[in-house]
Amino acid sequence: MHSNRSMWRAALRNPSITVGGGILLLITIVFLFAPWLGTVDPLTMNPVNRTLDPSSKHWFGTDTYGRDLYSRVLYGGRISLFIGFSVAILATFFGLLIGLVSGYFRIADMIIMRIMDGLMSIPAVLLAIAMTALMRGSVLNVILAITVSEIPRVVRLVRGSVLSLRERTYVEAAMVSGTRTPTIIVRHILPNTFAPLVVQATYIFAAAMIMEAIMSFIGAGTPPSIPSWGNIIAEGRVLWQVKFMIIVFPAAFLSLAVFSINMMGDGLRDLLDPKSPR
Amino acid sequence: MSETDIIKSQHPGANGAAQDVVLSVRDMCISVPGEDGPISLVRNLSFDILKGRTLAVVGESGSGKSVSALSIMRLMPKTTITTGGVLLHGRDLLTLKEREMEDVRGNRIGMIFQEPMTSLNPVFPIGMQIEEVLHRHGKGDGSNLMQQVIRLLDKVQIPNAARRVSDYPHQLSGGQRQRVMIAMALACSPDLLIADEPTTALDVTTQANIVDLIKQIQVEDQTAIMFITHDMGVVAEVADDVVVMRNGNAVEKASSREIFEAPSQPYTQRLLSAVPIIGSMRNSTKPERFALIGDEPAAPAPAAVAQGAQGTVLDVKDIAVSFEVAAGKSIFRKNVVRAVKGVSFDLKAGETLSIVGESGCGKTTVARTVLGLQQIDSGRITIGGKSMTDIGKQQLREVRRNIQMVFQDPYASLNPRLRVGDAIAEPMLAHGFSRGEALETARQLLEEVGLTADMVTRRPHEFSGGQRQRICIARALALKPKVIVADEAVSALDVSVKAQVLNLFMDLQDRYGIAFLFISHDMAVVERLSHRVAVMYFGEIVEIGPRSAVFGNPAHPYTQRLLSAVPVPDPSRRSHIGSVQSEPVRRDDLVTGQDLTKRSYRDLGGGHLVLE
Repeated sequence: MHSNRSMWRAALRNPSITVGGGILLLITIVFLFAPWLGTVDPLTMNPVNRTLDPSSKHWFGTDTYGRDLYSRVLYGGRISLFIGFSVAILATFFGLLIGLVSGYFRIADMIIMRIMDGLMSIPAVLLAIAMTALMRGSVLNVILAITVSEIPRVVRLVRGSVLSLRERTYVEAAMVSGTRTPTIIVRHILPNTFAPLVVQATYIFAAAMIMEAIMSFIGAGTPPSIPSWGNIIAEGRVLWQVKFMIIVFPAAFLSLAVFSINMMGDGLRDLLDPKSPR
Repeated sequence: MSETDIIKSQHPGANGAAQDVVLSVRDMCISVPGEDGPISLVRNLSFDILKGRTLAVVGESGSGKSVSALSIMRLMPKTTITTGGVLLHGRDLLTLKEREMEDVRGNRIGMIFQEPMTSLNPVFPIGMQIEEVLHRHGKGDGSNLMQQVIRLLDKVQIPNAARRVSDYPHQLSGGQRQRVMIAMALACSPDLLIADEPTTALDVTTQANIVDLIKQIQVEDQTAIMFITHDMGVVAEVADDVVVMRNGNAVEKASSREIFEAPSQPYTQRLLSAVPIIGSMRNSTKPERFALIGDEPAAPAPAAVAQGAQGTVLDVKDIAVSFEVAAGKSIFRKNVVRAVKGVSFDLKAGETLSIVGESGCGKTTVARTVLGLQQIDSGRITIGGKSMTDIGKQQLREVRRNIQMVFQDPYASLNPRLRVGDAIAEPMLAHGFSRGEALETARQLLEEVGLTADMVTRRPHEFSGGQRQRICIARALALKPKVIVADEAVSALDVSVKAQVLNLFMDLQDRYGIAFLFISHDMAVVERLSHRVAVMYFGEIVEIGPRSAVFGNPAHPYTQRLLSAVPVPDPSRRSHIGSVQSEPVRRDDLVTGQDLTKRSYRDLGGGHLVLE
């Protein structure tokens, strides 16, 4: 195991991480500072100026209600990134918890894994739509719905590594020396599951953003009152043959964000895999 | 006089065969690119292998012996730089094109690898895999190919060869798989056979059979053999000439007889002094330290406290363990494998009891049961007078303090993320010591096992295998246990390191009166170390008694076979071809009912019991 500092240095030498992470950092900063970047209220309608082409006043043009598209894309990006990030954190955290229990305790494993199998047998989008249909459409509920559909993936991953880790000799050595189970899990099992988990979390980040876009696109996601890339594209689709700009801008940002996150994930995977040469 | 001349001159009268050099390695240097320039793996290696003779290349891990073999075969990664000359019948292999080299591999040079379990492709029948080699090198055609395959399997003494050709690798035992590997290597009657640790992964009796087979084939085919091994016993058994390697240099080159009788180099002498020789302990009843030449300080005078501690610390009565395995395709039908059947023994303070036997005989299961890592079906285990069975979890932890373990693989038994001090402190923290106290003790323990106290802050990857095993021993000592179970604790170590660690075990026993339960398949080590020995075979103890009695007067046929199979590092005591008994037919150990066999032991006196 390398020390933390040499890990950082190796990360900075990895082009996938620097490029992917760099793009991600840049768009995050842009979205965070959206209010100061020449945007107007993304909800103000102005039917007179609807479907304008990009100009110096409206950088990306306006949509069918005359709202400024540039502002909407930037504010929508905040929502999309927030959902992606929250889902990644929540799904990883709960997945890790459930996975540890499932991997370490045989009886719990039987029950938990059957539930996870059940969840995985329903297509993720369908499950998320069903859940938002039961609840009110809000950002929080979208996060919740996508998290539930992503958890089984994390559980499988964690359970798998716990199952192999608990057979390691040093875990047995700790058992023989009388170390209690919680200590064994925290000291010997948990730290060794982190590497694959970090990689998985980045993929969930990207997947959640796409999922949010899909859900919003079919009207089951973020409510129309809150702009997100998904519902901007959804509203623009009726006009895409005439004013395809309305779709192109949010779609391009979505692609860029997903691409940069996946790229970073690939870099992290190579970096954290002990078998790959540095 | 060049080395070639030396080796030749030693066998002047080998009826002209001496002139017949099959492989001549000249000044071979091997290096791989590293971050700070090339790293040299082997330097100026030269040797000749003559027709019908065996050259053994010996050395400890990292000495460059396998790298040399792979370089001769040109199987090293492309970035490796090999200079010098490798002449097979005068043709330099290093200058051949890759296409030409492919015709040499498997055809002119055959190779056998260490791990028979992984060197055969599991998805093809063995016959097909041998056939492929013949086909590749254009030997025979169509119908007679299979005939040749059967002849080859016959040659390597696989019974019912004609029927076994369609078997898949998993249907064969380890020894049989290695025979198939040999058949493949011999398929094209190569001039040279390279055997890279071919018997290391095998049990002693199987090892003896394979060594015997290789010797027989050599007599029949007059093949030149390059035999790579770290086991001096095997060297004495097979080699005509020996090259001793260390850190990429050939330290000594001589005939086998000279190496064993009059080694000229200090390193060779040290290597030999570290090899336990079976039968060397005939005149004593107590364990004996290795007299290591060179790098170890004299043993500290053993304190006399040990003798005070007496009495039984571990008592195992009639334990049985079984595992369920899937029977056939149904998930509901289960067969029961009885791994341990009615095993009883006791262990006294300051005593070493060794459990020996081949892989799968249940010795490791016994060790795991004693530590509470494995549930028992029936029987009773008592540690320090307290029963380990039928007690609560909390009490079990308290009883377990008295018994600790040292595992086989020093690389796997330390968590790579924990500092050495934390690893040693762990058992103490689990039993309520304060952190400062535990770390202080860890420092002392490191000194105790021959390391230095300031190593507490280092991480496991900074240590060698032998040092890691010392750390594991320190961890086992942390709770001042009455019993330490050592499961193959020295099998993964090099000879000289092995001897040092064994000495450490004996010193600790003298100092603290710890009882050792030593699980091993290495008979020579066991003879050196133990007071008493138990021989296990298919889950039963077939013979148990004082070491001198079991080794000096083995009563059970299995013990006798086990002892006769151990290679002795002395060429003059070489066993004759064909003298080794063949592999035993496995008794069907799948049973579904209860174990109703009544085991009775015959008492030969002095605690020497034999299964009837």
